[in-house]
Amino acid sequence: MRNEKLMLAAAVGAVVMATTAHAENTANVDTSGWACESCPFQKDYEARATVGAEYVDEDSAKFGEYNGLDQKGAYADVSARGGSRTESGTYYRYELKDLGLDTREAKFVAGREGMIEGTLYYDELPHRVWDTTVTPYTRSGQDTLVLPSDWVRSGSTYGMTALAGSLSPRDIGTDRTTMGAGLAYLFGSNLKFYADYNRQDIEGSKLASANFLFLALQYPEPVNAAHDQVEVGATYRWKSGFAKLSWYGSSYDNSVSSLTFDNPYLPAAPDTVQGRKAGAPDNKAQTFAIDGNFLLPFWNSVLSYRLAQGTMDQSEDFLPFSTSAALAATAVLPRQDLNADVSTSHYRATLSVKPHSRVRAHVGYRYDERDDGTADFSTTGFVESDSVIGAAATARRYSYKRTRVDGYGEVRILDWLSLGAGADSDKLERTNQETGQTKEERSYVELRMRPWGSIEVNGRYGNANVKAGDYTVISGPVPENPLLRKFNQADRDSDFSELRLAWSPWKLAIALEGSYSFDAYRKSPLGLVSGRDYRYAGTVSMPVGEKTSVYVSGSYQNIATEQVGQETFPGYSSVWQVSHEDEFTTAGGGVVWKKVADKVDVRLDYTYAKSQGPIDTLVGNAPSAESFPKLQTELNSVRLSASYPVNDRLRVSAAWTWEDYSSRDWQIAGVEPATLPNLLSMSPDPYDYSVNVIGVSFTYRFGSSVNDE
Amino acid sequence: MTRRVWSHALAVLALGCLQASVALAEDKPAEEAPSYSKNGADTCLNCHGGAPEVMGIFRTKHAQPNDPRTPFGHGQLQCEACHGPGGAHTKRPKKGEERTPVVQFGRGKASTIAEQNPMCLACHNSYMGDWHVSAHNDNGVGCADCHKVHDPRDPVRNKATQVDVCRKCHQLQVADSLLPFAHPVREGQMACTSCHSPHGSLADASLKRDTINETCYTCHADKRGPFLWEHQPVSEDCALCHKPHGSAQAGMLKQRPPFLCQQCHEAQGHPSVAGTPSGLPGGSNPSAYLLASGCANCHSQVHGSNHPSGTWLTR
Repeated sequence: MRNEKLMLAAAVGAVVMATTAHAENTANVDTSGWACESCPFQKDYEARATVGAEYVDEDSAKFGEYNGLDQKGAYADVSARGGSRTESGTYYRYELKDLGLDTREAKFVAGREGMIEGTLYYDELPHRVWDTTVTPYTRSGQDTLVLPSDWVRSGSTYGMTALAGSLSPRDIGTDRTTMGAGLAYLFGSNLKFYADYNRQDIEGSKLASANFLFLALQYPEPVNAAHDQVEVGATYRWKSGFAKLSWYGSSYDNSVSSLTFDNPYLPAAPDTVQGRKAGAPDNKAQTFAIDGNFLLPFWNSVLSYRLAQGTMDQSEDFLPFSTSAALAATAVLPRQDLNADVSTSHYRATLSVKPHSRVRAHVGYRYDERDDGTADFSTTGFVESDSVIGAAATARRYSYKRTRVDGYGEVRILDWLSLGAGADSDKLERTNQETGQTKEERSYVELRMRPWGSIEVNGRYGNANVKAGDYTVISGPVPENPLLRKFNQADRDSDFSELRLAWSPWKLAIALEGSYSFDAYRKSPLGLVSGRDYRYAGTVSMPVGEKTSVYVSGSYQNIATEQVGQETFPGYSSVWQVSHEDEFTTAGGGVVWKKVADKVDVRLDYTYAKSQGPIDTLVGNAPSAESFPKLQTELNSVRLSASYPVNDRLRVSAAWTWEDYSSRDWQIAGVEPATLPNLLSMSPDPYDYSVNVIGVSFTYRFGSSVNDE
Repeated sequence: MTRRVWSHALAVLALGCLQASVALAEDKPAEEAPSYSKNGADTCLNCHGGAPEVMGIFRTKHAQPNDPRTPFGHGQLQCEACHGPGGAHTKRPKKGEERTPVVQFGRGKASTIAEQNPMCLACHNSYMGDWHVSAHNDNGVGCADCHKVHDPRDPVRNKATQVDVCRKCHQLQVADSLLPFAHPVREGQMACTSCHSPHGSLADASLKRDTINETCYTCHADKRGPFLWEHQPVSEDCALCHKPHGSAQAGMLKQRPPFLCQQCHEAQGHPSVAGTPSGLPGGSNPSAYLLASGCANCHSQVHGSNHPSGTWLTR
């Protein structure tokens, strides 16, 4: 590795020395008389504001998943944007969006042209997940979930006689708020300093699970965390390249460092009346990087590079081994926190050359390393799910080194025909895993042609081959089946192809694309043995007259996998096979009418999406496979909108959206809180909704506009 | 198979080189340096002024008179900074001849992509230092195929409208946003550029960060750890289990538990039990290994655990 680093540094250094920085060049044109008197630069305040209302006619977490319209009722539709600029070049702009919704955003930018710019921004993103879930748990403080005082513990959910009377609805979802600030400062034309900071706050709850040995429960886990990110850097550019030096820092702070929950079952150990899980630990990461490129003085060549060195660390205090004081005392913590120390390295360099207008090529080198230098952590024992003492255990640390070399060349043989070929080699060296090394070699050929008119065809075909080293099962108290091959460490042969066509006959615009890939894990007796993925999509659009345009689109994808398992070993018996085939179909279409009756703009869009997922299992010598009920989702969505300019400044808009969604999912359908004796479920229902949204808004324009002058 | 593709590729390259050598041998006549217009933008706007699709440039970053780096900065070449010298274009063509064109931007225009893109890259090299090795450059994408530089609200630079620009070529990826579980691209709350760098990067799939994981951590820092008990694929590559463009499975997983987990875990005992319809509610043996969250009903800390008793990723 040391040699590779030295070679890369030497290569970059040599080019640095060979390349002379130039001052900014101009075409040396005398522009002193170019007064730009007819150029309507902004001089005053310009803005537009929208005020309106929307009404949603049904509650649905899935419909409101990311738009915040999850509750039946009225919402305010308030947005605005505007700004001002002086002739001296100072300016400010602002944009306020969706102020009445949980997706509200605000951005304010101010600065002086060619010198400095500052930005402030705010953004909310809801993630509504479930509104059909129930639980007997209530929160007590930040990090504790308790059962009702009259809860009746039992060895199974069937005996929890207080369950039915204790269940309360509990919505699941989070709100993510991002606040940020940025600053950019220019020294002359070539040197720029910048700094960006943002803070994400995530609050809410997620559906989580825990267990007491073989008895499990689901509960609403509180989420309350903050993530701060900052990047500062400087970019220097010259005629023949640029260089950027930057530092990125990230700090994650979880306010729910652990969660304690009452044990709804009869405890396995006398005092295991509660369980406790660790939350995601507070952690930090940083990266120093230098990026840049050199426009070399021959063959239109460009050398790009990036050298980045980073760290990831965390030192969150460990929890006790168990909530059971008696069990916790049976093992000794080797230290109070992990003091994790991972370093990351990323080195890249690419050289592209274009010796002639018909020939171009590029080669690249990439090296990535994750080096986990955390001190060994071994315990004399642990407490499995707060219930029983486990054997001595050692935490494995995972490191890897990944080296990739790639090359690509293309020749434009004829004015309408280009052929290219590429290849890459990807070597991944891992520690403490079943295979020490996998190496993938990939090659492909490409074709690009414009045989006639506006037709463009791009195609690619290639294959790849992964060779894994010796596969050694990691020893442990419960060893894996020696015939299993983890798919990311297994030998694999792959074929892949893509085809794209774009054509604009007459006034039509046609875009078609398709892809196919097949992976065969020929040396994997157990595990994933094959995967096949084919998909295609197309869009046709065309104007109808001067005021109308229409489009239709559609896509289909089919992903199938085969995997093999074995219930008992050694030997090769009790073998089972599972076949998955996920199908996904979309269709859509729409019409845009401009200036209907010389005034009204109308738009209609329809979207359809359907997914299906049959799963078949063949066990042992059974005569035929058993089929699970087909997984299915179906979406129909219609949106009709119209806008009418009342006058030069005022525009009124109206929109109606109807969306219908249904799904079938055997994994959650019919799983009530006590359906399974060993799982206290929150009982989410498969998504099903039919929602209408209507809205009316008024947009008013203030000040002048570029077209007024 | 790899060998076969290589042999095909070499043959194709050899043929290409032969053809190219013929083209290379053609001598180009020396060209006269082109002239610029008499009055810059004032000359251009005599004919092209007034149209909103033209005048919008004066509300964009390209038209900042006090920033000498921009086309309309003091002393700069204004319209001709991007469209090239327009002296010949401003002259009345002789009868029967067409007006001399300037550089035109967009697909299907008289100017080729090879003529268009250098106009942009002459100034923007430092913002897209990896363009030269990007998939977009490899596929002959023009800057103006995505950007509308005269539009003050360039759709590709707007989070809510960007996906409609990307959809023109990436229909398959955008269709994935309609899958039951996907990032909020369809809702306009996230853009393709939230993760990808369309101007090229030296990372996989033109990602903005150095690796897939480091890209994911910008929003999912809780998965970063490092944890006391790590789950090997998690620290290596999030995409081993997840499909970031969308999935029919909850959590954007490639498949649902227990089947996904059983692709790597077959230890004797419950991990290797076949999931069959008999494990469904109403079946002969309703199973918590199969229903609800499957394996994750107990092994819920699949991204790693920092609990000293988290050996089996249950705490």
